[in-house]
Amino acid sequence: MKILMVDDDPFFRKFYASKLTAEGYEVETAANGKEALEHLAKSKPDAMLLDLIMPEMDGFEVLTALSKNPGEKKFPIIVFSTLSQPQDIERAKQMGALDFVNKVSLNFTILVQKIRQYVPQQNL
Amino acid sequence: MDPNDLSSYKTLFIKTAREFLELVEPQLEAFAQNSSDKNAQETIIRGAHSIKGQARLMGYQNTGELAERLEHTVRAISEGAVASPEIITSVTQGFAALKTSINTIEKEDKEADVTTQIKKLEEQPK
Repeated sequence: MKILMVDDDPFFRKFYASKLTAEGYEVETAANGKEALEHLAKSKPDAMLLDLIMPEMDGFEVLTALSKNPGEKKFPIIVFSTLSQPQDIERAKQMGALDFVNKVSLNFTILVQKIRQYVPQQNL
Repeated sequence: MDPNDLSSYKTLFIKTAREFLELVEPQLEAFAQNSSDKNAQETIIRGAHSIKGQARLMGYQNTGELAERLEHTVRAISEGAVASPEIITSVTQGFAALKTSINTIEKEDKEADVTTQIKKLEEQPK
């Protein structure tokens, strides 16, 4: 199962890519929203972890861009941020995100559970 | 292995935190010369924000708290708060303390005591 992880912070990209790979996922990464859309133009993941605050193009702008292509293959988007204000989470969900995880206080087991909740397990 | 074990990521944390500090340090000088310098403000805020998240994920709560105080202080200045000489000094000393804590984490596997710098930043007028 392929996950696209979008985060401008190299530590979080490497950290979560490493842990998710150890869980059996194939992980691709992007450093900002623009790179994420370039990735998505080539292939669609089974799920996307999307940071909200990024330079060049942030997570909200990515969600907006994806909502303009309703005919394209849909995949679960979990927003992944240090933001925890309810209004930001609600805004992301209204823009198409399925769930939110706080990437700093998160228990990794919970992240994997959320991914499995939204994407059927395939040969993991 | 416990999936929540973070010890093997300490080296990654040290490396990326130092990379952000290397970006911030020249901008601290620019900020001290001119606290309205937008490029300096943005670089410092981003550096503090990133180190905050990384430190907290790794369980280094005091280091994360200091980084958060630095982020909020410089963000407040970018939004119009007065940047007194005392505040500028607190920001500069705060980043020096952040660097010390990261070095201490590397060598001794524990955070440096940064409570003095946190308190100085908390005492600054908003």
